[in-house]
Amino acid sequence: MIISELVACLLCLSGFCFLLVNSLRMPYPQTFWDSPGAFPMIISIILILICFVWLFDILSQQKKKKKGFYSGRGEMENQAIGEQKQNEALKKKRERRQFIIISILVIAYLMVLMPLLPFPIATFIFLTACFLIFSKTKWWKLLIISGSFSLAIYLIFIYVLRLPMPR
Amino acid sequence: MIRRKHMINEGIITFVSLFSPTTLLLMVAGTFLGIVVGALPGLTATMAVSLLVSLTYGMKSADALIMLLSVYLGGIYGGSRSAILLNIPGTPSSAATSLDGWPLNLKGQGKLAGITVTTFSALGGVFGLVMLVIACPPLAELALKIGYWEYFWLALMGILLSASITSEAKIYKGILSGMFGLLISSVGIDAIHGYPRFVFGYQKLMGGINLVPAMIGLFGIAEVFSALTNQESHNILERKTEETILMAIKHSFRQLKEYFRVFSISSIIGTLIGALPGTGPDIASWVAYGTAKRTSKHKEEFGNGSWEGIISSETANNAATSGVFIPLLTMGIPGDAVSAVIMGGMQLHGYRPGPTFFYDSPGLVYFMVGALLLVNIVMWIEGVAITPIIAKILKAPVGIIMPIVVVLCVVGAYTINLLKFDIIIMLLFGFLGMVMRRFKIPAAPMTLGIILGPLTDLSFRRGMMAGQFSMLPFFTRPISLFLVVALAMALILPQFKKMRQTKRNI
Repeated sequence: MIISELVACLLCLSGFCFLLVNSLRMPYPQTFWDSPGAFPMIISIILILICFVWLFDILSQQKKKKKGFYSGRGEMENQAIGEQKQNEALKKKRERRQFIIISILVIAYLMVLMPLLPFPIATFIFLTACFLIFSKTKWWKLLIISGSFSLAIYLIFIYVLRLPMPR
Repeated sequence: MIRRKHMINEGIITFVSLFSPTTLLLMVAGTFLGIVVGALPGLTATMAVSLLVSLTYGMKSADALIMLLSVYLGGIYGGSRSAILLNIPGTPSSAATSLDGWPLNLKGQGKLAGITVTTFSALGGVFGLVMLVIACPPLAELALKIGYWEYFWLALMGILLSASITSEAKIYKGILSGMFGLLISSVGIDAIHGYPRFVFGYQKLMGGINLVPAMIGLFGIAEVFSALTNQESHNILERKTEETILMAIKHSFRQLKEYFRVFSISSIIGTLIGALPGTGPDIASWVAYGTAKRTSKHKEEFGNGSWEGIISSETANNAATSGVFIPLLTMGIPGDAVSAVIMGGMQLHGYRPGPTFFYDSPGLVYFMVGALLLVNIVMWIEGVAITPIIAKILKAPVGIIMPIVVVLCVVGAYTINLLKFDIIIMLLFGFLGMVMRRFKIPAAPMTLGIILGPLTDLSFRRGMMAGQFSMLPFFTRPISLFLVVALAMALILPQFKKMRQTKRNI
């Protein structure tokens, strides 16, 4: 967790530095203070400073963690903590798998199904796939729900709101 | 004297005309449409009113106005439905409501929270309306005294307050989120010099990053990801005894007695902020929520299902819906984006809101006041009737509700500009929202940063230009100075108290 947070913090820091340089490069017609880059520059500087606070916080957390790790603990206590950690790792692994599945499904719906198929059909396929994976309801009920929802949303947007559907 | 008598007569005639069957029917239909649109993530009151303006062209002007007002009020209120029941604010102004509404729903009190919010939304709206009638001229005068410098501080105040409220322990994470929102809002063509900022040669970024797809991504898609990866976290507690509607209504009125102080302060904050051009319900709900938290005896309940939390934010955002009409009717300046569209609709039907509006069309002023009052009552009746039904529908398994929310999010993001690019923005912000949740960075300040970014940027630069490139007016003007001191106290005092408490505990 700390390593991933450290990576996120460093990425933010470099991103904000890049935006700061970019805002300083913007032209200024009269003075700097009314130029297009003035406001983003101030915000970028504030963000960079906050990133340093974040970095400092992460490093102090790491220090505390190390101190806690080396402090004396009984064998039983260590075993209980080990089991707890194992359970947490398993939970995290399951959550990561679920996250990858839903991400793939959403990306496939937006990038593959929607450009290729009409919106109601793409929606029907996406919903059915999601329901089958994430719900324990009977399959025929799921088909009815996804079919009727896709049709309802299509009819509302085309005939009631008169808006085109995404493609 | 004769003129005054004539105005009162005209007012009575127009008020009576509100009770015609057609008008009432339009009011009921418009409010219902507003609630539905507000409750759907991504479909905002602004969008619904914008779409309706052209559709009302063929209607009688009074009917058109009724329709627009009903959809507006219904839309702002409707946002609270999904904020409480799905943890996805339907509109930006209900983002603060989800902080306590969702925990209340998890405790099995979703229905009670829904009806409480309905009652306080309607009461907040009516309170704002009373202020509109009584305090219109002095409030309009006060609004005129506010310059670029004060707008800059007001916008910053909204962002920083939401940062301090939503950050669990580390306030810097909230400020990081809010400031990043401000930076995101500066993408696109600069409003003063027309220079493209942070576009990097990508044409589609010229128009900037639209708030609605970003908000849908940050709240909606991120919530879907979070709910489907850990379904147990969204299990709603089943209670053995469910309250009947009547019991829930009684409960909400009992709370009026109990939290009258929170209600009245939030109503005043909502109306005042609504009356400031360029602000509106979004910022009003955060300021009221922050004030309620600071002055509460039970601060620890905020964020864990506090009644004061949902009451303050929902009272304030609906009081602001009345407040936005103060500058609109007295000066012809719309208070927020929706009232700008409503003003366009009024002009389409031949009305010219402005300083002489009260004298030119006194009948219409009374008509609008009467309409706003009736819409608030209709909104309460419909809200109470709908709440148990929506609560029941949303009790369906997470595995069924969340994929449907994805489809609604896609449609909501797309319908704003009919651009596929907005769907991609939504998805990117969805992933960003997920990362932010992982590192406990709140998303609400970022949304507020994107909303208030243009106001902050323009007020800062125009303030600099008007003050001959000196920063002094930002600190020396009386209202500015007051806002700076208030902001500093609001940010520093809680941290100071926290530090003292930690020292005492050690």
